[in-house]
Amino acid sequence: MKKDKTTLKGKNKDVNQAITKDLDLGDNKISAGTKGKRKIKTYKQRQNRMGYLFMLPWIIGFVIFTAIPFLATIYLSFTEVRQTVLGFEIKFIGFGNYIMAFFQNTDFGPALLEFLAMIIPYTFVIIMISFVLAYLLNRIDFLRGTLRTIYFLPVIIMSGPVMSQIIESSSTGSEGEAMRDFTDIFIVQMIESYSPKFANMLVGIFDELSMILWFTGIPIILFINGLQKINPSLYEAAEIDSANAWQILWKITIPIIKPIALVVTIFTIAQLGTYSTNPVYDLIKTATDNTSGGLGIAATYAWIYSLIVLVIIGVAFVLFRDRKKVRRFY
Amino acid sequence: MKKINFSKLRKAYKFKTVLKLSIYFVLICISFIYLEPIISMIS
Repeated sequence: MKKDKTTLKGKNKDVNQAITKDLDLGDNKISAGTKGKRKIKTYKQRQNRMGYLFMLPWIIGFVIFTAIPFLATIYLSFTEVRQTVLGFEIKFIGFGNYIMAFFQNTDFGPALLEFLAMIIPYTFVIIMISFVLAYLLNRIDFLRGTLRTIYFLPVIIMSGPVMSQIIESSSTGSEGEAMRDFTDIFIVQMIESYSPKFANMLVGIFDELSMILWFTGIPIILFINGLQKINPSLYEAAEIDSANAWQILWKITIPIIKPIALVVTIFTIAQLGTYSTNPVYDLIKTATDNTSGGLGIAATYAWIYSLIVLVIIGVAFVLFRDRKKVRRFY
Repeated sequence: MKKINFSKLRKAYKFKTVLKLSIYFVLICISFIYLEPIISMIS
């Protein structure tokens, strides 16, 4: 019995040692990250690492081609850059370029105002038309694919040289005749007598309607996506509660579609902001080509312009943001 | 039990058909505005 006990004790010791070894291993595993030992990563961390690895080419490209030039323009906007035979000659002049852009240059201010007068009605019209078209396209079954393809066609063509040819042909075409045709309409004449500026804006929109419609390709797709995600049971419930189509539109469709409208607005502003017909964009391009101190001025124009576009996007964000009602219990 | 008013139903069906046709009309008309620059380029 004694022998048995001793052997049992010995066995127990071995088991205990084995357990303590395991625990040590476990401890090592746990405390591995403290000093020089390999850190065990969680599943989420490993997933994140893989994600960043896949994103790496884009990150490198973004840093080299976007972030660094972006920061460089801030510096350049405070300098006078001259292109000489030996290279670029950069001279720090403080806020000189900004003062010149706002108070001395006669082109920048009017171009900026022209851009604002263009972007606000254009964005509004693009959003309204694309929403209506998406709503109608969502309601049909026959010819759905064909019509959607036609409405998406501008997105494919717009990126190519075809679009520039279309702009050229529209600008050299019978613009004056079209303007005269629109001002002959009785309603336009009525509006003109009340507010000539508003009438001019309306005529401008109708005159370039085909151009404006060409910006609605992606907004239509985004709106269709949003409309298809709305639960049909909501509509059914509203109909059972005897809500009419107008009420359903304002109480169900529009509140649900609002976040998408925000995305569409930002996208449209960015699209119009970088478009070649934009007067400020043209001014920046001309200033960039100017070798005698033009690069600094171009950077200043670009910065003022970017800030104004950001302000417009901020306004759009405030208008379309999701205001959640906070219940207060007191 | 309430009888089904078939004339009303027929009217509703007709209204729905007219509505669908008008949607198609609007969409096809606007699609021509989209295609107009391309057609003019080709011609």
